[in-house]
Amino acid sequence: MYSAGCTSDKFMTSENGWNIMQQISVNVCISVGMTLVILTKGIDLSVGSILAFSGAVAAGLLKNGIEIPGLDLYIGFTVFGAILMGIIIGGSLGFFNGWMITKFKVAPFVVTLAMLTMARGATMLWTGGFPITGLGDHFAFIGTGWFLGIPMPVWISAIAVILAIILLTKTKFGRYIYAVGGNESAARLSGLNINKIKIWVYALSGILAAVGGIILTSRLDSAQPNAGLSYELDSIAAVVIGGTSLSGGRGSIIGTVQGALIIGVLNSGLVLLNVSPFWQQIIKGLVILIAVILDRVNHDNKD
Amino acid sequence: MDLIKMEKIIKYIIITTIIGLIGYNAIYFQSLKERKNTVISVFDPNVLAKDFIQNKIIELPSMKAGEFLMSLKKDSLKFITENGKKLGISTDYYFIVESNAVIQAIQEENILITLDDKSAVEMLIATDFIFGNTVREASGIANIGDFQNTMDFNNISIALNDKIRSEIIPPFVEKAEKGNKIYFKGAIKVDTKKLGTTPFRIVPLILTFL
Repeated sequence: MYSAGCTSDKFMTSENGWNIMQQISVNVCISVGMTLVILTKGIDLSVGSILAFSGAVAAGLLKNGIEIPGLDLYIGFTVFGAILMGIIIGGSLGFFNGWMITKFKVAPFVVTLAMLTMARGATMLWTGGFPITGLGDHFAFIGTGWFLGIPMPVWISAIAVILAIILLTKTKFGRYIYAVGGNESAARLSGLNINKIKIWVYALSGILAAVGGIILTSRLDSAQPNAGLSYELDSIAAVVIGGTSLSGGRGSIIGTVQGALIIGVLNSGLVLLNVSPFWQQIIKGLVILIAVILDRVNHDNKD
Repeated sequence: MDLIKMEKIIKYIIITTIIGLIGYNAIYFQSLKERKNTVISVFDPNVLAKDFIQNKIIELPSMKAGEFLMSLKKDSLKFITENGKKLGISTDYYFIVESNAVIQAIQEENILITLDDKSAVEMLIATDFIFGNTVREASGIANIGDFQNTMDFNNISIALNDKIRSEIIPPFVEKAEKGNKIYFKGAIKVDTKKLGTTPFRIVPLILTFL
């Protein structure tokens, strides 16, 4: 970051600062959901695909609505309605993930990997493989508009972060999440409904992925069939860099936001420094490794 | 009726009202036949492009190229955003301009002209790489919101591109020589992030010798 600031005159500008904030807003949204999941000792590999499908559903409904020829009926969706449907879809897919994991005791890795493929296929089916474009100025405002001098995506991700912090630190449900991740057997013996907690955590992850999908669709003014590819990796990286333990029970939303910021700043700095995209990937991977090693060393010492 | 039952009934009424309000603001209903009358159905981009080139370009609203360039110098961003056309969230704006001009040079991909007015500003008329998008956006021939997918929308650009390359440019380039006085009407793209880049490149719609 220091190097980028010294070398590129564009790096330390407010314009670039807002650009970074806008770019990371999608990752912040999905990473907040991923933090909740990882805190329960789970993982959600389907966020990128859910993001794409939710965005595509919102865009498709807004643009084309639903036609029922038998009843000579066309059901149109307002911007609010389309967004709501996108979020409901995201939440439902997340809920399904949670239900499968708890009902059939399948590893989260496997269930969400299956959902990754299914949701991507559903996106292709829904869009026919073509982008859905021309979604109108009102919808575009969500991803490109400014309110009180701050970009809308930043507002949305900030609200998601604040709500998640309140959920984790001020509610019983938040404490239960830490308890489930910290020691699932102890939590069960304490009378907690583990399955219910996990299902809701995955549903929240789906909802937040959908919110990210709507921001992305709005920013691009189009729903791309291949949107959100590999976003789950960036999201896991943000969570890990932010200090959340992959073993569950330990971590924070603020840490995740810091992790997402580090990745965003790193991306922007490397681009402005004209570092080759191949080297960028290697550097990002090294940063993740160093973060995990530092976290491990720190906590081993405390233990 | 006891208090608990009353509370439940009130709760259900509130929930139903909220769902109703959300639904009312989320969806609307329309007759399918009525809807289909208002939306472009199956179309042929070649027919659209042919009709446009043959019947619409003469009457297409435009501004004098000299005035366009002068206005651009004064308060460029305000002028561009108030008078140009754009697609979606793009920062590119499109204009239709016309003017008399004098050919200065025949280049490989363009014809260099100077406007036949006091300004004598240099501009380029594209003769090789033709961008149908510029014509589509500047003329407003189609609205992306009317199309189910981008393929149909993009096909309009391709059809326009083909028409311009095959019907407008060849007969002109064949006879064009340095010093010829001409009249042109065409489309221009202005990138608001690269203001000041000159000379402007015109995608021609009408090219005639005076």
